[in-house]
Amino acid sequence: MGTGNYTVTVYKPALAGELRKFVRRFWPNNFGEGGTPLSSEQFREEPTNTHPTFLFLKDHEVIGHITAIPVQVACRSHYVPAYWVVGFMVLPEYRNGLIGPLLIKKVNETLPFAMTLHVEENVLKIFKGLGWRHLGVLPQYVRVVNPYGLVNNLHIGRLDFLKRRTPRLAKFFQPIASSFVGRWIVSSGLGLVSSIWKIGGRIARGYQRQYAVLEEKEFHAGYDDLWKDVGEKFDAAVVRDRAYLTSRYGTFPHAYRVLACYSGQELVAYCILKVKMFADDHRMGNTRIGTIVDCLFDPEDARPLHALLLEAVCLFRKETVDAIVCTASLSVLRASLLRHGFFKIPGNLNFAFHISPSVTPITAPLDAWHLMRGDSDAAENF
Amino acid sequence: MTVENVVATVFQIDKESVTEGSARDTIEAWDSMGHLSLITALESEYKVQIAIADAMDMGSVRQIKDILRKYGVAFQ
Repeated sequence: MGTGNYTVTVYKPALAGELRKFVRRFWPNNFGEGGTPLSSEQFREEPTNTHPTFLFLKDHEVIGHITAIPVQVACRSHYVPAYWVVGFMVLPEYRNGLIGPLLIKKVNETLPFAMTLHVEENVLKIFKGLGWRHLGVLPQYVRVVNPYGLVNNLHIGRLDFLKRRTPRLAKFFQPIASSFVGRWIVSSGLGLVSSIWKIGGRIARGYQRQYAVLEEKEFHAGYDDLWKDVGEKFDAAVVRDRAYLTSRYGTFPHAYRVLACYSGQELVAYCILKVKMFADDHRMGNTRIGTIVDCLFDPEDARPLHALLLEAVCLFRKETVDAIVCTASLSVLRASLLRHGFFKIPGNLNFAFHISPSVTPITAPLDAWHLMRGDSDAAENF
Repeated sequence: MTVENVVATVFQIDKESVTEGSARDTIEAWDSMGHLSLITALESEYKVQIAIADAMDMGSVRQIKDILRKYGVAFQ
């Protein structure tokens, strides 16, 4: 028979040491030697029953890992317990084998409703092969704030997702971006467009006086009230109540900033923002990117959302970002982004889910789901 | 059905092109998912339950036959 004893199992405390060894081998930089640290969502030192973690073991050694974040999905008034699966890792010497598919098979057998936002096409192929429904790639939007900074920092030729999704556009821009004159022409053009939107934004802010947009310091009880008011108006969305926000974004002054829109004393919308400075990144250079990570608003009344977007752009300008990125599936939000000077670029987050026969199927198309980069752990990269 | 035929059916390739020497690196469609589909097809065809360790060692038609023999499957 084969060499070694292979098993796929759910994490138990006795495996804590082996799990730690696995992550240390996988990402040695995670342990204080510099580099990008793993997020607490991708790897939990001590997984709990609420966050099931699946391990592929060779004898006692962990060689594959995937974990799950519990959430609730609201489909109008119908609530379904679900999980985001994240942290899919297989040791390099065992890749392209059975480990990935068997881990996901175990997820299918264990979790009644699992979802993923995944970038890599080869991993998506495994999900799809094991019966996951792929709804598509989340649309992505960008608004240029500092065209000169952006054009001079970005290495367009190295943006793989751009080359994959729009090879003609990437081919067209590559020679332009690599010459000084080309960069000057492109950045001047974008600068002109950016200035027009800036003036438009100033005028529009004058018409938004019925709303007050403030920066928040905590998720107070008003966040529960807002979810109760608007949550059931979405065809499909992860429940964004106060408990979820606190667990997902934690003590946000460190990593995230929250803008809240009030009508009188009532919270009517909010958005969660993040600024990331790339440092000599091989694709992003030293670009400074602002991301609208998440938001909640009344999908039947987009006015508070417009007030928020105007203030978010102002905040990002003060933070001297080069561009603002927003990944969004919901049609109302996408239309609002276009109105605020964002333009669509190729996305890279694939949304797929698997529902066991015991769960009521969700038939909403991608543009009826309210999905953003803040869902799952996808905000870790931007 | 012979192992060669199972392999050809799973990977949707010409039956004539599959030999004992055919392996993961000679069949393009034999990736992670292809491997899982192949194991499932072999289990169904030969009515056996293949252990994960054995499934992971099935990297060529020859290896598949050697391992299936241990499960009591006879080949000519």
